[in-house]
Amino acid sequence: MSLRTWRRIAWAYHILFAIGVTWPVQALVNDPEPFVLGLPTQMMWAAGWVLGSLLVLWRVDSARSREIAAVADRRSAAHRPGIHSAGTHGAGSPRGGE
Amino acid sequence: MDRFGLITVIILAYLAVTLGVGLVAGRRASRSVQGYVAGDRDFGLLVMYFITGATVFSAFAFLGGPGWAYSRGAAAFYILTYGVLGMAPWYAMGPRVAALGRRFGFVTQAQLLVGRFPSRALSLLLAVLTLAAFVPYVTIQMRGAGIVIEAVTGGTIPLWAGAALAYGIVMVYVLASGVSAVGWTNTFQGVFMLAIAWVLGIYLPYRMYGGVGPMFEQILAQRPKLLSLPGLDGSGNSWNWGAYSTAILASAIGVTMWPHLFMKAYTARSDKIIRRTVILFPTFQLFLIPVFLIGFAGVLLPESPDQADFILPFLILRSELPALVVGLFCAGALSASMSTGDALLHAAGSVAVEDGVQPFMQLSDRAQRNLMRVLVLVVGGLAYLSALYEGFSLVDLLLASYGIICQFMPSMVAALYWRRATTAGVLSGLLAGSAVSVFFFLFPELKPLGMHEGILGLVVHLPVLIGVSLAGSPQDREHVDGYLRV
Repeated sequence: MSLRTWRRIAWAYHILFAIGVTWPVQALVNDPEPFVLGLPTQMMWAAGWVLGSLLVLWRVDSARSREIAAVADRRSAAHRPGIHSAGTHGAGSPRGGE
Repeated sequence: MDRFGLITVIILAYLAVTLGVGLVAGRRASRSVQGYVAGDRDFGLLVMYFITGATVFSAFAFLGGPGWAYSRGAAAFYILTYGVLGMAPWYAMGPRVAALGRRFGFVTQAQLLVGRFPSRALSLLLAVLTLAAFVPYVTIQMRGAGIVIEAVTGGTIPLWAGAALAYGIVMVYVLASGVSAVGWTNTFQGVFMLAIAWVLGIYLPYRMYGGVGPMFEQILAQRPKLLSLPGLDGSGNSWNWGAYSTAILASAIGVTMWPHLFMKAYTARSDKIIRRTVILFPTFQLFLIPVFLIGFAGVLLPESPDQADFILPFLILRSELPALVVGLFCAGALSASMSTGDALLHAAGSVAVEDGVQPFMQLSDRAQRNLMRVLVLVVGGLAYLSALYEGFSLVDLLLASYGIICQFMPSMVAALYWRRATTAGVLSGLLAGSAVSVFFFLFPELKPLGMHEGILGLVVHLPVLIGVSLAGSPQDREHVDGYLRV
C-alpha cells in the first residue's frame, strides 16, 4: 500500500482509538472478566489500542522509507547518461526532509 | 550500616550520578541561546526517546498513577490511553514544527505562533498561560520527590527537605547546562524508571497475592466497583462518563501541546528521529501497566497511607524488601519526578525570556541566558512553596494544568494548517477559551456532565477563532506560504 493510504489508515485508527476508549464504546467494554494475562479486560483493551498505534505508525514509516527510496531510484535513473525520462523530472518526494 | 543509612547512601549516590551526568552533558553544547534552549538541534534517537518518555511520565505517573488505581480503581485507566493519543499527531506535526524552527530560528512554541500571527500581546499571553500551567506541574514533581524521600527515610528527611535536596540538584544542572543536561539526565533516569516500574509491578502482586490474576480475582470478589469503569471519584462515589471521557481528550490534547515537549522538536537532529520517537513512544506508555498493578496491590490491605499518593512508598516499606531494593525504588521515583521537573524548569525560564521579555526588550545573547537562569530560580521557588501545601492530589493538579494547555491547540493547528486564520481570531479564541476554562476550574459544580474544563474552553474557543478570523481580512499570501508550505 502507498504512503498516502497508510497515512489515511493511521488517521482513521487514532480516531477509532479515541472513540474506543471513551463513552459510549468503552461503556460496552466494561466487564473486567475474562482476565487476559491476569489483567482486567478494560485494561487490556486500552493496552491493545496503545500497541496498535505502534504497529500502524511503524507501517506508515516503512511506507515512507520505501517511497523515499523509490524517488531516489527514479532520480538516479533520470541522471544516468542516455536516459531521458521526462516523467521523473519534478517528481515529488514524501513531505518533510530526513 | 543500618537500613535507613543504606537507603540514604543509595539516594545520595543516585543524586550524585544525576548531577555528574547533567554537568558533563553541558560541555557538548555551544554557549549560545540556541545551545542552552535547543541543544544546537543535535539530539539523536536515544536521547529523544527518553527525553520524550521521561518528560511525559513524571511523579504524577509514578506516584499519582498507583494512587488513583488504589483509591479510584478503573478510573486510572484513562492515564493509560491519552499519552499515545496525544503523541500520535506529532508524527505529522513534529517534522513540520522542526522545519519551521530551522527556517526561522524558533526555539519556543510561542515564537512559532507569533511568527505566523505577529502580536506582542499574543506572545505575552502565551508566556503567562505557559507559566500558569507550569507552576502546578513543577509543584507535582517537587511534592513527588518530597513524598518519596520522606516515606523511605521514615520521616527523618521531611517532605520540605527532600524536595529541596532533589530540586537543588536539578537547579544546578539546569542552570549550568540547559537542555543538554535535561536530555542526558532524562536518558539515565528513563532507564531507571522503566526497570524499577516493571520489576516492582510484577513482584508486588506475586509476593502479596500469588500473581497478577489472583490479585484481580480477589479485588473483583471483594470490591467489584473498583474494576468497573469509569471508576470512583475522589470521595469514593462513582465517577461519571463525561468526566472520564473528557479527561482523556483534554489530556491527549495537552500532551500534543505541552510547550516543553514542543520545544524538544527543535532539539532533534533530523525529522526521521522525531518520527521514530513517536513510533516508539507506546513502548514507554505501557510502563503504566506495572505502575497500576502496584496501586491495585494495596487495595485489599487492612491499613492505608495518609494520602492515596503515598501508596507506592507505603507498600514498599511494608513488603520487607531489602534496603538496597528500597533505595533503588526511591531512585526510580526520584527519576520520574526530576526528569519532568528539569524539563519544565528549563522550559519555564526559556519561555519567560524568549516570549515574555524579548519581544518588548532586545537583550544580548548573554543577557538572555542569564535572565533565563534567574527565572528558572523564580519558577522553582514558587513551585517549591506550593509543594509544601497538602490540600490537593497529584492527578488533580495535573488535570488543572491540562485545562490551560488545551487552549493552545486551535491556535497551533491554525498556524500550521489554516490559511484563513488571523491574529485577531487567534487572540480572541485564546482569551475566550482560557476564560471559560478558568471559570469552570473555579466553579466545578457548574460543569455540564462533569466535563473537563479544558474541553469546555475549546467548545467556546473554536467558534470564536473561526468566526473572528473569517470576519477580518486574510493575512498576506506570501507570509502564510512561509508557514504552510514546509
